[in-house]
Amino acid sequence: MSHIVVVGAGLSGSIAALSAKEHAPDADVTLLSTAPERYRYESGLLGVLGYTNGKDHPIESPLESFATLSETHPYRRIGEGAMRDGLAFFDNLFDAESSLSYSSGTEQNALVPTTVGNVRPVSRYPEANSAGLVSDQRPMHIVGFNELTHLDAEFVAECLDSTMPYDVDWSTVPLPDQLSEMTALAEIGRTLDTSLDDSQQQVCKDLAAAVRPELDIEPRVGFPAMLGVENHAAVRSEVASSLHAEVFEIPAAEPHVGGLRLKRALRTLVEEAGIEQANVTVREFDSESGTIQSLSVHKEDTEESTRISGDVFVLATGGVAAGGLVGTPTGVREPIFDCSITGPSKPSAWSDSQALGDHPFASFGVDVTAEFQPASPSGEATYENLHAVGTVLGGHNAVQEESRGGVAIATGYSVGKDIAERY
Amino acid sequence: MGYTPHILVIGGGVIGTGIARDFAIRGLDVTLAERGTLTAGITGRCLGVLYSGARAQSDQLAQRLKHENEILHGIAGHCINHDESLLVTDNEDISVDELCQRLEQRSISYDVLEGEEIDATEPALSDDIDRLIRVPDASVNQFELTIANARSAQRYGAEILTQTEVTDIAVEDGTIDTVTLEYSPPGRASDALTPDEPVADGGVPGSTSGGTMPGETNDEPKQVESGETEERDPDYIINAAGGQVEAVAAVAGINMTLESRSETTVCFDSKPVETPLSRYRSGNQEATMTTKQGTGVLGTVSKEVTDQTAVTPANTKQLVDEMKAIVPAVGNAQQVQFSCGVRSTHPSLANKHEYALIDHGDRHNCWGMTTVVGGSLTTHRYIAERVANEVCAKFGISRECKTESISLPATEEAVEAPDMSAPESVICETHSVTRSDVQHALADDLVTETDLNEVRIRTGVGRGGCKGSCCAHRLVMELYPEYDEKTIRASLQSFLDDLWTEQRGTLHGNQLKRAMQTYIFQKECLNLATPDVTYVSTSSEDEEHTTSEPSDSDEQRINIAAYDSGPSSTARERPVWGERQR
Repeated sequence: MSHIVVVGAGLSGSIAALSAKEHAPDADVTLLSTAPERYRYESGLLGVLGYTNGKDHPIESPLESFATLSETHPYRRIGEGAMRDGLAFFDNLFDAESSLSYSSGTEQNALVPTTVGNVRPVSRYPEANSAGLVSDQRPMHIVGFNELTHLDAEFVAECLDSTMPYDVDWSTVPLPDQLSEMTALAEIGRTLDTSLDDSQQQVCKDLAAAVRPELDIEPRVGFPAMLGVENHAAVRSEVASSLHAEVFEIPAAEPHVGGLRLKRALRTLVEEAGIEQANVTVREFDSESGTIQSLSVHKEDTEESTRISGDVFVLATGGVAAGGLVGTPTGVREPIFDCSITGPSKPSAWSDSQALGDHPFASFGVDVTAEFQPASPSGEATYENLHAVGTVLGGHNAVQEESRGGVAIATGYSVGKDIAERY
Repeated sequence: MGYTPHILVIGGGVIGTGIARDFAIRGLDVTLAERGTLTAGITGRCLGVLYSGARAQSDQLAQRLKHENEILHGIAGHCINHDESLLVTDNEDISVDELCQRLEQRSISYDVLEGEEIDATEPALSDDIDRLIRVPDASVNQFELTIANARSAQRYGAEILTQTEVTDIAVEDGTIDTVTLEYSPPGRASDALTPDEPVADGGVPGSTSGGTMPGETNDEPKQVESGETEERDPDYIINAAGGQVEAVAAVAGINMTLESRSETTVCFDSKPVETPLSRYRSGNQEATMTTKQGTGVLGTVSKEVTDQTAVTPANTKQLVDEMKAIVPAVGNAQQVQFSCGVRSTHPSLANKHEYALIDHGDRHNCWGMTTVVGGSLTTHRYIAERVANEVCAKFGISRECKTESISLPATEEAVEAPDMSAPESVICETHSVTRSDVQHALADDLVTETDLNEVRIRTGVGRGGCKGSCCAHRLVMELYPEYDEKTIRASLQSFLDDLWTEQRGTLHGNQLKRAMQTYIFQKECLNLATPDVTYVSTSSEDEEHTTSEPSDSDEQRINIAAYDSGPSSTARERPVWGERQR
């Protein structure tokens, strides 16, 4: 019986662990969370491929656009078949019965509104966002709140109204008294969660009551993302039934309720699958003749270091934003295994002059072999039993491509499956 | 005197605004042109220390600094955050006793702190320090001071033009002639990604824009006109453009080579000390930790600049280590930003407080322009006095300088608080900046509204660790709906690029991590950098709408029917309209 150790419990690591367990039910799978705070920065919307090089506007179908990607892109390495299997695996995990249900997924990208009135192409979106697609052509109504500056409803509505072939209306109303002192959207979300325990469900009702007089005939109403964290489905449905309209959210500010919900849902799935998980800091590792033997980790809740040995290891610590890659004055490093990194070493060459340009730092990542093993500059596997998944992979600007979610799902699934079959 | 000369001051730092103020108070016609925002150069990037003379190497300089320090306390007390600072000295350079003796001689007030007094005054100091001196080196808000100078100048009739670049200085027969000014504020259409594509209203034909609410006024939202130029005919030009004086002189065809020095400061995410604190160093090197708009700032590493176009922050490791030795908490604080400004100097100047005036009539056969080199926050008023004396003499004007006795106006008195429906809504959680703070900053008539840096220098928003990452897009909404959507986008784009220019100089460790987090949020979640496009639907029922639109560019029109329209539109329950309470 083999032991699979996944380092990093973001989307890619969690999917890798779940896929490994699915394909090798007898294996021991350990999932080590190295940056649990990272979820607060994620909106929960997942792009597979939104833009390809040289295209200003969102592509319609991610899978049809694969051919335009470079041969070293993770999608090309995986291949279309495995890609489809990976997305199907994700869809199955987050189906309608799940506590966090994602759209079952069409081949086409969906367009969602952003808090600055722009449009973003995504491929997998939670139920909280599904009524808000701008590619759905029904009129919509955007709600903002006097006390919250995260979303200017008038601006969003005017931008959408002038660019979309249907009407978008708006209103800005006061928050109910119980919420009016709060500035963090997640705090509002948690308050709405607990309000449902109260049989009166007063806060949700008050929230809807403030909006109701403003509505015309719009069948769908958009709020800044704040409608519950744990009980989001119930909160949303409570507000929707008071408004007699479908309700959707627009991701607005960190901490994102969408990311917090995704974290909870993934943790539950991992636990139900019988995968051991822990919050750790990885200190060092032992290797013998090109094979990693064990990791020395510091568990968050204890003082001492523990050694975790395994047969195969998955590096899923994320990119620069999650700490999976670290910038130093002399170059970018992958801090745990010191894998070789793609990208310029001089910090002066790391960025574009425009704030939102194509930054080289957004393409930083480890080089890999065809089996997703971190590779040396000469192309050979650094350690025979180490594989990398998700945003720690380099060579493409996943933010600009809007492909972070898809790369995490597809590589996590594919590598998880491969190692389960191989070890 | 029958004729009033018109003086053009170039540069909106503390020295330029100080000069404009002095001339204006003396009754001359003054125009100040600043190509960006007031304080955008070295003024906004220095530590903001108002020296008392305690640390000066010569007694003569000490007397000058002491005098100016006292004057500024008198006229600009509201710009001073801390009246005093702590001075730690190693015996290597000078002992505490020797320093005390020097302060006695210079009649600079001080007191010596020992043992428990030190802990009570500044608990962050290392236990190894058993004696230190408290001196009247003050910490000043240089943004407020510069704005106050400009406002004072304005009250005496000066015209303050920000976002205004001097693009040409004509010289006729060895005398300066017409000057061309170009007004180019952020938010112009040319700042947007696709300047030539007007946004067509994709709404239902025949109706007005669907979002217009009943009762809403139909006033056209404001736009920013691009690249307006204007000619002026000044009698004299003062070039006080700080690090840019050579470039400004070049506009008049004057080739002038000066030394440039960069000054680097480190900004922390926390406040390691409460009271400004310096480590005594002989020579001109500065090691001071102070607090700016809520976060700690340490400076200054001064370094010669050879290439003005590629100025990067200097290595601050040694400076940080030195400060860490006396304030251990500095070692634990996150370094979030390196700020770097450029000043011009001259080999004849012994220190940064001294200045030199280059009269181009004498030097370059170009009568009518003087360049100011050097000078500091502490000596700016004095320099302005000397400049104005010299120029007035050229015009045969003998009017006394009155800047030392006329108080600088405070912002709160000068700007009326705007009417706000929701004054306490927070825009920036990091700096506790509310909508009313922003509206108050924008209500200032010195402000170019679409320049968000104006809000930044007045409120501190976007400084320190956050760099506007979570609030810049919320901040710009304060300009809406007064300005239209396109102006809002262009103004935001320009602000983000300004913030980024400062940030990208040193990108490693936590700075890189934050930069990537911000990039993900702004590019992915907000999808800010998208061109203007119009979405249409070519599904059959909407055909007539799309054909009725003017269609000159098919690439800018996207067919939304080609995208996912959501889960099973058919299976949706239709809401029951009658039940909705009105």
